[in-house]
Amino acid sequence: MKNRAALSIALPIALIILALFVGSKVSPNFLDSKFLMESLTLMAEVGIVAVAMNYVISTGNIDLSVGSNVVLTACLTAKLIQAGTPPALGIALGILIGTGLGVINGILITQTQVPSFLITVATMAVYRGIAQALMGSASASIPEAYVGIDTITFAGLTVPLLLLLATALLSAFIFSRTIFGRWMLALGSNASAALYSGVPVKRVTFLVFAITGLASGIAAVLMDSRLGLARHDFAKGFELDAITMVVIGGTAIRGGDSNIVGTLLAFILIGLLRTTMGIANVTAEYQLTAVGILLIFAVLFNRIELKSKARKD
Amino acid sequence: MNQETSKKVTTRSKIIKGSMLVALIVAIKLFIPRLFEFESINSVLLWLPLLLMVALGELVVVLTGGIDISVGSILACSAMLLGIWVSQHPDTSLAAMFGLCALTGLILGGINGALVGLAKLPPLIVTIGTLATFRGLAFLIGSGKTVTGSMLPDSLLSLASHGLTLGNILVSWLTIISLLAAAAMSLFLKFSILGREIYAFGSQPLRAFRSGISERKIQFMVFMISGACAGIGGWIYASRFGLVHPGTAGSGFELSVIAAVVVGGTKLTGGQGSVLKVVLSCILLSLINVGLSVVGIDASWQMLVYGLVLLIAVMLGGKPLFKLENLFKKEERA
Repeated sequence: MKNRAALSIALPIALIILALFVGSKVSPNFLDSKFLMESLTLMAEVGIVAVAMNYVISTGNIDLSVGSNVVLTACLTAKLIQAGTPPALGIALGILIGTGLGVINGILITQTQVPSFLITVATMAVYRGIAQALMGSASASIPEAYVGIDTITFAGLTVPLLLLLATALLSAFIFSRTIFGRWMLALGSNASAALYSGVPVKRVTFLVFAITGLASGIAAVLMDSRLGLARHDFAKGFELDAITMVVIGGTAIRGGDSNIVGTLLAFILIGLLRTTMGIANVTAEYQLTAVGILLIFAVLFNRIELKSKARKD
Repeated sequence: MNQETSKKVTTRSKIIKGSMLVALIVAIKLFIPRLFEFESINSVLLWLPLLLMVALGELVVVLTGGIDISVGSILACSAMLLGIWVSQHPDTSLAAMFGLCALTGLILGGINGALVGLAKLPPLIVTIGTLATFRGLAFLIGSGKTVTGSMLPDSLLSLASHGLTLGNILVSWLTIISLLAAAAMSLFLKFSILGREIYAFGSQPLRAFRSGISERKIQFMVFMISGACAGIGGWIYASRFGLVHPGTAGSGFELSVIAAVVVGGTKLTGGQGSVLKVVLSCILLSLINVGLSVVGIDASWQMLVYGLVLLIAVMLGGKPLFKLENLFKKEERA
């Protein structure tokens, strides 16, 4: 078990070093701590959702609707603030909306017993569809007072990165030290065994989707504040990034496992990768492709690792 | 679930779905009489072939309990390759173009199949990854260029606008080809050994394995079939639209395709589903598509409507079929 954890962390670390090396070749200013932090801040929203995605994946489920959730919440929040809602209330409402959308996923999944990926594929279309119908081709701009949370720093870190760190710490604690954490892992490793040993399967399933909703709400509010406007076609490929971070981080895609530290490292890796590609003028489509290839190799790697472990046992 | 209750459930869901279809058609007839005019039927027949062709492939994957999200990107790759190829070799025959597209799809689907069947990775994750990868490949094939109608030969473009006419209704060659493909697929699934094995594997993976059906072969083959269908979908796309943009061709199309398969009553854990029902649900979805524009609903509402249709279909299909026991049955397969 220790070996496996060490191995799963070794891969992202090696890749991070490689990414730093390549990045410094592409641009001489790459290895500047301020620049690196700024570029990672751009990805912090995905990072927060990726940490939350650990909850869903650890129970053997998946949530494909996170990107659409973020976009819909961001658009609604922007509209609310435009309409004169005070910033503090707007933020609270935004987070509430995101959580609400996650709760809808949770209710649909636990009540219909349909596999989560199907329900969330459908709500992915529904949520983005609502955003599209609501906004059309227009964009909602956000008042000045609300913009720029990503430029505020505390203790050398920007607010989004601090939030990501706090989420990760809390999640690591929940997974290793609470009953809820045990329940999630039990459900993910063997659902019927979990049910028969008294794990409240429905409640746990419901909660993990509410949690990704909460994280999506936070991410949406951060995105609004960072970009200063909201459009219906933002956050495309968001779920791909988030799932890739979780898988590279060494979390088993079939459930029963979580690796928050790995997810954080994978967040840094993908952040660096996207920054490097951005500097090298790689278009968004090819960036997505790179992440897609990375995802496939990460699942392959996890699979091979799992196999070799099974042989040893 | 024993034989009798399952029969009861299927009859019940058949009645529900049948009456819903009738109710929908009556409602459309009452509220949007224009939809039954010839132009509207013609536009339904314009939408149908592309959706049907790709949905046939998706059906085969879903029959094994898998899913293929990457169809839209495979379609884009095949349509781009076709466009680039014919702009350099304008004298290519229609059949050769068809073969080129089918082969492209077959190869890309083979990559999916190898990752799912041979490397034993979950289909959802693999095809999410290849969805992004193949989309990039579509850009790479044409180095970011868009294929325009002037690059495509008239013989290909005329397939969408010519065909058999029944009164005022034009049944385009594309529609005929896709319906023939559906018939072929139906025969394949019903009477070929591989087709029977696909059903057997989908309904009882463990028993299928014990009776000597190779999981690797089945999973590899179904993704190849799905890829080939999506590749042919690229051929239809190029013919129908006469314009292939690497970023938008087939983007988000997987939602419509999955909706078509699910609305057609295909059981998502595998083993149940028929080509005929998928054909009907494709007609229904095309009707909705045309209906939206006839009533004058903005195109930006389209995704929401499709999403809602998919959500309702998934939930309706879920109620009688997915009990908690079924959730556990997946354990055996893993």
